[in-house]
Amino acid sequence: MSIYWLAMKNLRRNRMRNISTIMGITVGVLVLLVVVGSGLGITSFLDRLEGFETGSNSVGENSSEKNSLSMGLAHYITSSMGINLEQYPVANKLVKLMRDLILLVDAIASIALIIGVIGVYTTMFFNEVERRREVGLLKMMGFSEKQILLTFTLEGTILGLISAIMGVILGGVGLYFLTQILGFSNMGVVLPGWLILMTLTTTTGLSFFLSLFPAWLASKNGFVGVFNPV
Amino acid sequence: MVLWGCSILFKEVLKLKDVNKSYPSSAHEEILVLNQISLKLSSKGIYLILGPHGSGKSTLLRISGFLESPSSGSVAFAGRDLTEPESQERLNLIRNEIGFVPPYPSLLPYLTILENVMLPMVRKNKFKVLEILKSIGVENNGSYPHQISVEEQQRASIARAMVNDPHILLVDEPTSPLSETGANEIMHILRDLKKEYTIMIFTDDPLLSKYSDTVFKLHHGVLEKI
Repeated sequence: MSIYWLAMKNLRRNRMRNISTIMGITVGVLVLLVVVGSGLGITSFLDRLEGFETGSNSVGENSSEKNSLSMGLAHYITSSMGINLEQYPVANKLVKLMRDLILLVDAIASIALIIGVIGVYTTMFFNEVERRREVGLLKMMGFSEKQILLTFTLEGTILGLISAIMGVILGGVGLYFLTQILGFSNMGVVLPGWLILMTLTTTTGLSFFLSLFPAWLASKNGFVGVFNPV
Repeated sequence: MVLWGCSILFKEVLKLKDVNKSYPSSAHEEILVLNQISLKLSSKGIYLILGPHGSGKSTLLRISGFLESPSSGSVAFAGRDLTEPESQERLNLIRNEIGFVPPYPSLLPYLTILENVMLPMVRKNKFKVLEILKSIGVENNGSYPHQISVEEQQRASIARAMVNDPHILLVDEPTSPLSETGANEIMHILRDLKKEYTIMIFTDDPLLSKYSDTVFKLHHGVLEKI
């Protein structure tokens, strides 16, 4: 048994605490994916609309689809808001406003992810305090500070990775149903591969960095309580 | 490791000379925990360090085991002065040459007995571990520490200290959580092991003297041979 295997063992040991951390991060990832995915869907829609307004054919090949789509939106906006989209400057401003709003909502959603990942930091701090005697015992067995640091960091990173995977799965399912309800057929637009990859790496990377400090503190522990067990 | 092993044949295993250890108690004051300790362990056997709580036993154990450096004086292992060893040298020494048996509880609660004993092993060898466990009477290898008796846990802790074939065993309070019968059992095991190892036992129990070859008394940081 390698010392690094202790990271996996410890994940099973503090089950309830780790499950709540994973749930926190999963919710963060889920919120981020749903919001960013929806934003991507709306952006794609706006791209089509802008393509119609400028008369460019760069976004969609099917001009009749583009026509009906944009005309439908133009009709809806004209009838419900009293804004005539024939006046292009106003329409452009509206589109720009929506794009800015999407960016703002995406930024707010990323805060949900960060709050979730901070759970890793708290959990690893609890672990550091709880396992001071254990660290002393490991050092007595000849394990180095570097090995102890890596073990603790690995534990936090695995927590982040598990949460990210769960968040991506749940987010994917959520977005699928959302697109079904909205009648949006192209799932690849709202949940592209790069978004999945970015979410996985960002969540895991943040968990890694947030685990570093508690892990460093743990590795610097001496022999607290080893010779005077309570 | 091999060189150390050879030199142990001719020189003392562990030698402490004029070791002092003090800790800061306030901004300008220091508490002297160990005072001019000199100790030479040159042959296999049981060396008992007897002293009451707060006499400096644990500090002496940490210095003897190279877990901590003395404030002054020298510590040598197999003739080599290693008072301030480099960190890698210190780790190699701790891992290969010294076996620690910390006070109870010293096993990791989320590992089985077998996993606990194998954890510090440099070259993993399950059969060797099983042999060691069998030789000192641990049968429940697959159990977790809380599932076996305190005495069996202490036996496993001794087994863990032996897995890398060290030259010296540093044992802290081996019998404190045990009944008289359990304490006798553990001391019989250590007495059997003294043919192969130099064993230093740190305790406040004077009854362990009968199992020891040499007894030292540690009082207020001063060590004297009885």
